[in-house]
Order: sequence, then structure tokens, then C-alpha cells
Amino acid sequence: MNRPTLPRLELQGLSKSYGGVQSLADVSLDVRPGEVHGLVGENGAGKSTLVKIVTGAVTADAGNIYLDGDRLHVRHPRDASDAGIAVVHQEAELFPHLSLAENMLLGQGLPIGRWGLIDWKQTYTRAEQAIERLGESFAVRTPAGNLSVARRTLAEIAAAVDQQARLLFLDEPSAALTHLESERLFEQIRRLAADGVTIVYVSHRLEEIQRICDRVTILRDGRHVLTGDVESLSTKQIVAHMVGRELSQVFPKTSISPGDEVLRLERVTDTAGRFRDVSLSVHRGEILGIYGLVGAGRTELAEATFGLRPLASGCVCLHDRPIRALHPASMMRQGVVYLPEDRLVHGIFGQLSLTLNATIAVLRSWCPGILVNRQRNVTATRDLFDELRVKYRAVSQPIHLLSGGNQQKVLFARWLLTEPDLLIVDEPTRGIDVQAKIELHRLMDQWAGAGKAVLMISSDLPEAIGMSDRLLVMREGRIAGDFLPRETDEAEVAEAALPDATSLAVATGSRAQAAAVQWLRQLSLVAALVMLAVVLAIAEPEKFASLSNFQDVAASAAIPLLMALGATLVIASGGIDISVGSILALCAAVCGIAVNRQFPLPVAVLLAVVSGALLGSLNALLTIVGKIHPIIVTLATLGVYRGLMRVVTAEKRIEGFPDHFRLLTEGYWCGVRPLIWYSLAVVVAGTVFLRYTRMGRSLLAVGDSPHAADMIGLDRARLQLVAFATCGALTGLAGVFWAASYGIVDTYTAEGWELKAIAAAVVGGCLITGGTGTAWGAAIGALLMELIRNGLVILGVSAYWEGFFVGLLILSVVFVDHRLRRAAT
Amino acid sequence: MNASGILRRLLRAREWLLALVLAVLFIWFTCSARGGLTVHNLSNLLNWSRHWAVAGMLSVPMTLIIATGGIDLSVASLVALGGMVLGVLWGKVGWNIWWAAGGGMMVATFGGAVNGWLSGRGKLAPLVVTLATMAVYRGLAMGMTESKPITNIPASFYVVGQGHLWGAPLQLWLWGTVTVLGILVLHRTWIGDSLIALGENPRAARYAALPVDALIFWLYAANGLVAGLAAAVYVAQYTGANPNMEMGLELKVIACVVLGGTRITGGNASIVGTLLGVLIIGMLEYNLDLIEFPKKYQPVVMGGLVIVAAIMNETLARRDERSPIAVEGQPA
Repeated sequence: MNRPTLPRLELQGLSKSYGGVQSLADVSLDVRPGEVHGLVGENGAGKSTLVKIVTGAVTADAGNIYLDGDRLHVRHPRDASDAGIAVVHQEAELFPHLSLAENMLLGQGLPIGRWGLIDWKQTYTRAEQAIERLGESFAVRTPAGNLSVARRTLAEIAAAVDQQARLLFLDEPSAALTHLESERLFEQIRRLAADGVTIVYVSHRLEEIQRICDRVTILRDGRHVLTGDVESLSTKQIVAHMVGRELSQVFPKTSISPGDEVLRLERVTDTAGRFRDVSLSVHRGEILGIYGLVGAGRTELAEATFGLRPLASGCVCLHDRPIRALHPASMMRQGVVYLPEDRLVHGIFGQLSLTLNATIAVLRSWCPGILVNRQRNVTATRDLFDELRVKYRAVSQPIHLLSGGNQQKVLFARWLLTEPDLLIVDEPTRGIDVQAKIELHRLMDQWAGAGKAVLMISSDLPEAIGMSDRLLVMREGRIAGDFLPRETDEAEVAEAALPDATSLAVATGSRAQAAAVQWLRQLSLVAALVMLAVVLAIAEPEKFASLSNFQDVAASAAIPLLMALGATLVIASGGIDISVGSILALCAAVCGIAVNRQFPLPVAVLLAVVSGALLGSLNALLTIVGKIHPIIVTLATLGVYRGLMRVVTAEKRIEGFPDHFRLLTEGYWCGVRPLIWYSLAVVVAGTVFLRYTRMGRSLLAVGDSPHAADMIGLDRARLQLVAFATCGALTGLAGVFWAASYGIVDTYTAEGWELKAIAAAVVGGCLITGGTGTAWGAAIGALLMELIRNGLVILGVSAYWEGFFVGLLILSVVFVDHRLRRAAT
Repeated sequence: MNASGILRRLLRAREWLLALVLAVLFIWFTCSARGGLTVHNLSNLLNWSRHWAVAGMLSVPMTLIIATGGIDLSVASLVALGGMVLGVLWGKVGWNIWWAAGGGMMVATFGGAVNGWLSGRGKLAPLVVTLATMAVYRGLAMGMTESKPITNIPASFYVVGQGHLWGAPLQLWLWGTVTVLGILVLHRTWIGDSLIALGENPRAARYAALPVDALIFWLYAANGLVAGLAAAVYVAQYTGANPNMEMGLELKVIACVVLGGTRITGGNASIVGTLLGVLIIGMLEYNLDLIEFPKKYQPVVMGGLVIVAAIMNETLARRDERSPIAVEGQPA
């Protein structure tokens, strides 16, 4: 182990800065093969930036990376994984609707079996084996979105191991694991190291570092401080190197005697179970800190207090009066405000001006009537910015140009303008330079001193201890400690935050429920189909309940089925196409004209299908290259293609097709209408594509999570092109059948049918948000639509009401799907 | 100059560009109209412009809707529904035509409110909601009279669609009023600022304690109200209501908004730009009619225009790329 050999990973002079903040400055280190190398540092020290650079998520500004002595160029996560580098993040980026096994193996390609199709048995087996190697076992067929964070993390680790990574980065892996699971993980890590896998273990938990690491690297403020053998460094020494400065310099919290109680939480419990039975109280003049690890439920608690999340039980009392309607606007009016954790996502309006960002919360209350007083807003903003020492050029500039620290100050300004009694801040100084950090701390201190109250959530231990008058520790949704920071040891606080052996991972019961609900939805679809058929059969037995009528219904469902399958493909891949009605008309016209001009039948059919594919491709190209939303593109091409059709047909009806063409859809083959045979063939082909080919699975993945798909290197543009082109081709084929079965093609052909296609797809289980969809679902959806139409006719309802019912159906299904999804989370 | 200055320059540049295009179209008109720039031709143009009022009125709330990152595909159906309800209330139920118009407006407003409720409180995507209600409202409009038109409305009502006020067609005044109201709301009220913020970052809008659900609800309801008004104008113009009225109007309205510079992704809005867009499309159609360009190709031109305009929007906006944002450096 100690023979002089090439380091597995060597970093030379790595630097990276974001908008003025130097995240990494000239960091050099090396990691030996087969070692477990710890990486520690406070928040903002540069740990995650370093990991992101080596794993390809971001590019360094300067510096070199060497893997086993070879220069490594990583510009994209795919480069890293190709080189044998794997990473397991804290929050796994995955495809929620795909099975866990698929998530694990999709990156390297699902195993192919007979006839070039995906071998699902092998997929599941390999996934199960990989997980068993970690000493765990759980269902790999469940959609990944239904599993707990702990399981997803473990699965990711298993996948990384399975891919035989040479270098494995683990980022806070034990954060979401129970004590038992962590122990098993450590065993695995030791085993992997013995097998020659190099592991970089990033963590805040120093005892873990001491237990499983051989050496440890300490970063501070983006710089490399020290790399040493773990045996030669005590926890105290590590902490000293991490912090490296006098606490009193950074955190000037002045002591104050607390005044009246402002906020009191009595045994509040979250509806989703992220926190339970929490009680606390905040007084004027004090800063109450809440410390804890990721997943402890602190942010959820703050959001619930502000009214962004529903409470299951418990009481929120303001100035000793319980609040009935918990809603952000009413909380703000009563003097409680919340500065969120993630300022990019939940805080700033990036392209909008500083003035707007600062005054957005008080806009309404400052308006005389409804008119805005711009001058007052600008003046008030400028004054406050000067007070907070915000560095900016003009109050009209977009906020995204400011550094993180200044952005955070603007957000502080936003809430200060509302003149609150209580400010809840979530990670106030995350990703901020030291200067701004000190200024914000001073601000909070001054503010508390003026008689306001602050509830501060922080995972930065020195900050939590230095700034709080009282410090609560949350662990797995409950309060696990109440400390007076001046009189407490840092280690005691940190320990209180760690989950112990008796705690259990998030109940998987609710997740299993979610899977069952999804199955129920699909089953109820089939049940609805059957019920509707039965009802109609009873209502009008002579007209409806004959075999020939059933066949007629099934046959007339063929055209909607083709279109629904096309719509399923497009929607599942994350797009939408409302021009399919026009595509059908145009292709039907092309086919009809070709047939009337005595083209051989196969040629005519081919022409129609190819035309459809081309039209669909054009939709895709305009979306991808023009970067326009597909709804706009297809809304436009809806008109363009219909217009083209009128040109091609010279506004004349196309009819009088020769018999051999009509035969395509007439008569019976072995007692069954031809259209039914075609439908079956298409459903089989569709199922094979979506379920058993890599391209089909990738298509679903791209719609499920475009970001995750990008991370593993799926070509989104190509897959969307395939989806739109195939949809067009299927629609073209539907056009052929239209011409053959109706015998007439005119300018009104298939007008409005795009809606039917989408309705059938959505009813059949294709979520409008993408990521799901089956061929047989499209078939059932189409059958249901035809039954409804047939039923309306039989019951004597005018055909003009059809659109009304189709629209209502879409609304109901989408509404129900949405509720189901919300209930599951 | 800093980026915000450049951005503002671009935006202003776009409206000047649109005005330039409009001027070119006007010159084309003077060349194609018989006799050139005469009072007769101009007054014909002015008279004809009343036909742009329907799209013009609807493009104002649509601008605001698109600015919030939403969309309303059901506007054409709302107009049809409003018009048919007007027709039925007068023709079948026997109401006074003016009360019938009020009834039509109320129903259209209700339809818009349903859109707003489902998109706001219901938290469904406006795209899907209005795609579905597009069919529901059109279906209602058709089913009400089994697709038969209502005709021969009383002449006293004609003024709404064909009358004059102080020299100019009444509809232009209506359109102008809606436009001015829209500009006021967008640029001088907290509602306008809030809508822009909502489009820029919907999640942050909730966290900033903005009344998001209420804003969306009332916005789409207002859209319905304007649709009802437009329906009354249409019915007065064409002296009747038919269920197929204004098919494809949604594309035209969205085209005007996109042409005017408002981006589909939300976060910005230009009602002046939209106004110029309406005028451009109106002039384009007028000129095409003058040279007897086949009507059947007009959807092709419209569609092509939308695509070109949208691509232009995106390209211009991308030139003002966002710089990398500090938060990428999350706690290490």
C-alpha cells in the first residue's frame, strides 16, 4: 500500500470562482489508489465545488486533473463516468417514474437480450445483486420516485460500484441513512477499498472520517490547508484547521435580555411527516438558532410557520394569540416573514430590477389605491441599500448581476421593508463571501438589539453557535436539544444532531401506497371501459350489443389509436403536438391523390407515412433549433399544414378511390375487421418500442427528468426528433386509413382531432408532464373515446356535443392525476 | 453601458423595428390601393380596421397572461360561447338584446374564471386547462343550437359593431380603452409588477407572499370578460352569431403578442409591442386582400409569422445571456 506509485487522482492548482466569489483557489492534492480519502471543511470551504469539477458538473477556471497519471479533460458528467469516476450526491438526481433498477443501469445502457430487446430479467437481477452487495435488499421494480431518499442513495452507491468505478466520490452519504445502514455502508467502503477502488468521502461527521478514512484533506475558504494521516490528527485539531480563526471576530452577537414572546409553536406536526411534535418560542431581542443536518426538517418547519406548507396539528401563536389561517400574506401582515434557503429558486426574480426585487412584498400595501409610486419605491430602496451596504450600480439593474452576498442583502431588504416583528432566516449566509457574511451577521445582531426577533436556521455550526442566544437542534423531525451556546461545547451540539441507531428511515409505507394508487388508476381505466360498454349494452341492446357493432367501434378506434400513440410518444418525451389533425389531413390528401393517379398502393401508403414523418420532424426542428415551446410551434403549424393541404387539394374534395384501396379497410380477415388487426400490430410495435428498446426507454427518461437525462448524456434533441417524427408517421398512416375507410378527404378532414388524440393519451395514463406512457394505455384511451362517441350517437345526443365531453374528460383526468400525485408526496 | 441599459435599448429597438415594419406595410398599402394615398382609401382602411378590434382587444389580456408564463388557448371558444349565449338569450329566450349581450359577457367571464380557478387554486398547467376548455366551450357553443346560427339581430344593436363615435369607429374606441387600461395596469399598478414577477419566477412569487392564486384567477376571468365584449362586437358586426365564429382566433392573438416581443417563457410584457403586432397583422391581411391573395393561404402566412417572430424573440433575448450566478457555489 505504501510503495511509491502513481496517485489515482491528482489535482494541480485548481481554481474556480462564481460571480466574484472565489470558490476554489489554487488547490492541489493527490489521492492514492485504494485509499479512503476524507474531504472536510466548513460550508463554503470549496468541497462540493471540487467534487463538481472532477465529476464534470462544472469546469474549472484553471488547473489540471490527472487520473492515474493521465491528463483528464472533463467537460461533462459523461466524460467523468467514461473515465471511471462515479459520484453519489446527497440529493440523487434521478428519473422518478422509471424503476429503481432502470435508474441504476440507464447510464451505462440497459442489458440487451434476445432479438436485440432489453432483457428486463437481467436488469432487475443485476440491480438486486448490486444492492445485495451492500448488504441491503429492497424492491428494484418500484418507480424510483416512490422510494425514500435513503434507499435511493444506497441504490446510487450500488450502481456506482456495479459500474466498476475506479474513483468514487461520496457526498455526505450517511446524512440520510440510519445508524444501521451507515454501518453497513462503512463495511462496503472498506471492502471496496480493499478491492482497489479509491474513495473520496466528503462529510461533516468527523467521527466517521476518523473511522473509515486513511487520510483526510482539509479545505478552508477555497484553499487547501492540510492533508494528513487520520491517525495523526485528532477531531479537535481537524476542527481547528477547518475554522482557523477566532470565533469572536466573525460573530459579533451582543447579549441582550429577551423581551415579550413573539412566536410560539405548540406541538406542530407536518402533514407529510417531515417534522413532528415541535414546540418552541421566540422572544423580542433574541436570535433563536436551529441547527441540524440535511433532512432534519428545519426548512419544512419554517415554511409551515410561514404558511407555505400545511400543518397536520398543533398551534402557531403570535403574541399569544393562535393563528387560524396560515398563509404567507397573512403572516407577513402580522409581522412574520421568511427568507428562504435557496435564494436562486425561491428568492430572487433574476431578470427583474433591484427595486422590484426589494419592494415586491410591500408593493400592494404601499400603493395609494392601485397605482404604484415609483419615486417612493426607488428612494426607499436606495436608502435601505445604503444602510445595508449593498454594492450595486443602479437600482434598475437586474438582480442576477449582483454577487451572492449582495443578492442576499437585497432579499433581507425586501423583508425589512415590511417592518416585521419576527424574521425567519434559512441559511442566511450560504454561498456568500466572508465580508458579506460579517455584515449580515451584524445586521441581524443590530436588528435583534432593536427589539425584533430572529429565528435562524443554519447548518453552519460555528455560525449557529456564535449567533444564537439560544440554540435548538433538530434531528429527524424532532427537537433533540436545547442549548445555551455560550455554555455548551461545540461537539455536544454536533452530536445532538446525529441520528442514532434507534431511529428509523422515513416510513416506506406511504411510498408503497403511492405505487398501489398508480396501479389502481390504470385498473380503473379498464374498469371504466368495461362499465361504459355494459351500460350502453343495457341501454340500447339492439343498437349496441351486437358483435358487429363492437367490431365497428373497435375498428373506428383505429385512427384515434394511431394518433393517441403518436401523442403518447410526444407527450412522454416532454413535448406536445396539436398539429396532428392537420398532418392527418395533409397525408390523407397525399395518399388519396397518389391512389387516384394510379400509383401502386404501397407507394401511396409510403408517401403518406413519409410525409407525416417529415411534417413531424419539422415541428421538432422548429422546437429544438428555434428554441420555441412546442405548443407555439404546433399551434402555428396547425394552420400552416392545413393551409398546405388546401393548396395541395386545390380546395377540391378527393374521392372516388379505386376498390383495391378501399379494400385496405373493408371486409373481414379471419372474421375480424382489418383495422383491428392493424391496431393490434401497432400496439404490439408500440409496446416493444417503449418497453423493450433502449431508445424507447431513453425517450421516457428525457421526458421524466430532462436535467437528469442531460447528466447521463442522453441526446435530448435526437430523442425529441424521433418522438415527433414517429408521431407524424403514425398520423400519416392514420391518414391512409381515413381515406380508405371514409372514401373522402376534404378541407375539414380531422379538424379538431388533435384534441381527441391528446385526450386518449392522457386518459390512457400518459401524464401530461412527461415520463410515462404505454401503447396499450393509448389503445384503451382511444377505445374509451370511441365508446363515448358511439354512446352519444346511440343515445341521440347531437354530435356537436362531442368536443364538450372530450374536453371535460381531459379536465377530469388531469385533475385526478394531479391530486393523486400530490397525495403521494 | 451595463446590461440593463443594453436590455432596455434592445426592447426599445424592437418597438421601433415593429413601427418600421408597420410603416413599410402602410407604404405598400398606398401603392396597392387604387388611386394611392386618397381620403377615400384612407377612410376605407379606417373603416376596415374595426375588424381588427376583436383580436386587438383580446391581445391585451393575452399579453398579461403570457407574461405570467401562462397561455389561454380557449379565447376563440370563449368568444364563440359569449356570442352564442347572446344569440340564444335574445333569439330563443326572448331577452332584450342588450341584456342578452350582458348575459353573454357574464357567461364568457365565468368561462375565463373557470380557467383561472383551475390554473390558480387547482395548480394545473394553463396549457392543458385551456386546451381542454377550448373544446368544452366550443362544444357548448355548438351544442346549444345544434350548430345553427342565430341571425337577424335587431338593428339597434348594430352600433356596437358598426357604429361611429366622434368620427372613428366605435370599436376602435373600445379597443383603445382596453389597451390603455392594459398599459395602466401593467406599468403603473402593483398588479402589473406582480404579474411580471410571477412570470419571472413563479416559485419565488409564492415565497414573496404574493397572492398568486388570486392574481391568476382574476387575470383569466378578466380575459373572459374581454372575450365577452369582443363577442358582442362580433355579433353586431356580422349581425348574428354562429358557433364556428372566430375559429383560429387564438393563433392570431398569440401571434400578435409574440410578434410584439412578449416572450412565451414569461417575465416580460409589452402591450405597445402587442398593439403594433395587431396593427401589423391587420395591415398585412388588408394588403393581401387588396392584391387578392387567396384567403386559403392566410393561415400559412400567419403560422409562418408566429414562428419567425418567436425565433426572433428568443434570439434577441439570448443575446442578453444570464451570467453565471453565485449560488452555483453551494456550501462545500
